[in-house]
Amino acid sequence: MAASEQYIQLLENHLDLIKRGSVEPMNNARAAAVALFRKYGIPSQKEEMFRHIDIEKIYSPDYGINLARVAQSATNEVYRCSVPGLKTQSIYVVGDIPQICEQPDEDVVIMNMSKFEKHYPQIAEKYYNKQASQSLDGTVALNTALAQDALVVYVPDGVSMKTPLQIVNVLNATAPVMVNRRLLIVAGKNSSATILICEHNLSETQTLATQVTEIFAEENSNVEYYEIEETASSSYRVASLFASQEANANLIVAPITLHNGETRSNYHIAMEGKGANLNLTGLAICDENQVADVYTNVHHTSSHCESNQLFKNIVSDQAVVSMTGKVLVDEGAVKTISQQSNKNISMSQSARIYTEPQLEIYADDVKCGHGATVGQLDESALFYLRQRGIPKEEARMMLMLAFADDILQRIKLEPLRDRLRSLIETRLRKGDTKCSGCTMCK
Amino acid sequence: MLQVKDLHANIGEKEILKGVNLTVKPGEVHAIMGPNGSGKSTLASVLAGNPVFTVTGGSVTFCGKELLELSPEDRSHEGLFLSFQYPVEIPGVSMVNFMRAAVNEQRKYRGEEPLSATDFLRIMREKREIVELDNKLASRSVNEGFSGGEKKRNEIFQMAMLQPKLSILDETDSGLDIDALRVVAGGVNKLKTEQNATIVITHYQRLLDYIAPDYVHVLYKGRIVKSGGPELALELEEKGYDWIKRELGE
Repeated sequence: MAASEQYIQLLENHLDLIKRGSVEPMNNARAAAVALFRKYGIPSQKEEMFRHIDIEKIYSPDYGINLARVAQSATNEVYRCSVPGLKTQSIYVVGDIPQICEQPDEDVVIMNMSKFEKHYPQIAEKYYNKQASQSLDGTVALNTALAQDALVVYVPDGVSMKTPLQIVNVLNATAPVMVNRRLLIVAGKNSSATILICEHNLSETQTLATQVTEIFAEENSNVEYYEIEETASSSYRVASLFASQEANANLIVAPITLHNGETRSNYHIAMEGKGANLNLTGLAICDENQVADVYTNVHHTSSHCESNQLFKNIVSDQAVVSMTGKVLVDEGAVKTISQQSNKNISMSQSARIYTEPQLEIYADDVKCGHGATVGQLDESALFYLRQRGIPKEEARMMLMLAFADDILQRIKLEPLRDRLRSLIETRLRKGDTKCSGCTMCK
Repeated sequence: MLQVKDLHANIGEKEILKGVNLTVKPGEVHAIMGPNGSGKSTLASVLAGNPVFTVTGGSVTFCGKELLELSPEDRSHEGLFLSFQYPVEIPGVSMVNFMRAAVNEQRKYRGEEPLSATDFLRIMREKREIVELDNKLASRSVNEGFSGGEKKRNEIFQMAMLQPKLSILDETDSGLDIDALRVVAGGVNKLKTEQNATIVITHYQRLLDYIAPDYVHVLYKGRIVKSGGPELALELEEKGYDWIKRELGE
């Protein structure tokens, strides 16, 4: 409870300051979140859901928090991040302050909450924290209690986002800090949106970035959400994504961890409308002492929905990866198709891989499957390649890239797919942490 | 070209090869026959350097080099090719990338420049025709979803691409219908020259109707127990392996 205590103290002493730096829809959610956090606190490793990552350790340092909202100057030139061949509209979130400089796509609303709630108060009230408030996870409640601003992406009914939105999260701290980020994505009926999150952390000191993302995919909407994590070894990150899908909504959520410190990612997806389709796909490459801990919860409440989960990991050194994936099919959710797969390659004896599929099915007439594999590279394939003259190291590289390839195949944004392919190769070849497409990595 | 002297090899603690002797000269075709479990495939794997097996004794020279001291990839670069009994499926590695890497690694070993993309594709096309390998297969992942016959054709296609000095065909006839067998054997024969040599490993005489051997050896319990000309294969077909066992006094 020691970890929880300092945040309870902080909330008691500074709640007014937090509120002053924030706006109504967020402050309205705060009281309940504080109460929830007091009740549940920072989860302990003894809890079933958190066995493979020490969340208390992550929240224990005495981090500075920018409650007074001192703006950090950031221009695109300083933090520019780009994918070759991909035209995007870019937003920079420096620390936890969204900086919106440009907005070429006129029909799509991209604002920080302080501005958004003035223009769209009903939308803000209707959606903000509506999914996250259902969570019993103390880290989510704490984010709601501490977050002072949010980035809002609102795609009204019938609007198609023409240019993909790139959100670049940047942290460049010289002393230990905690940032609490918030992202709200509302995709209206018959709308479409493509969003790419680039998570960067240039800090050489201990930092904690928490993130709560809520996606509302209304009827017939198409949402693609990609996330590339490319942070420092000293970065802690606790991120929860909540998504609800109405009838015939298509959602792709694809997080790729190229380099990190320790990350806990939660994905809570509610398939609430008939005929919704989910593709939840992730890849993590971890070495040294990196930790990537993924929890997914896909809840089929409506009939005729299809969910497809594929998570792959390549681990070496003392890295630890884990995937706990729960699929819950309610009694009425007939004709559900759900597939969950977790595949892992271990390159060293000391790496640890945990995989735990959980299926709970209360409906008849469903097609649900899950599978998990943990192993080394296929020795017979390795020998086959070597027999044809491909040197051992090169053959291993080919097999690792092949392993990652079906994750890439699920990324629809072609320039991003090509970019990731080369980033993954660089990462595997050199252990390189730099994506070199941006100013930050040079 | 190849001198195998008193070769012993184990898998785990179990000795499979118990002193194999074999000499192959350029231009020759050798058939190695024998009942199941006699060590035929092990011999092929050991020569190719499969790390699953441990060599416990003997020596192998290949074109003047100590073969057993070379890595599998360098054995390939020196001109040794193994057509696998069970070609491995490698999802996610495209045939084109695989072959380009293989050909260019070989060229690098010989101090040659990598092939240009156009030259490479032209050579691919030419060699594909030797075994009538469909272009569609060449654009897929290595052996993924290939039928038994397609896999074997693909082996001979790769052999054509790499132009080895010594090809070891491990049970290339297994799982082939008569038409596929004809195509595969035809491919092997087209690639035959006075400078290269072939070792054909087979359980049945059938393949030898298509690929005519100069020498036939019988491998039994880890040793070559009988060698002869092409007529030995016919004799085996007629009398069966029991005949060998009886000759050995078993």
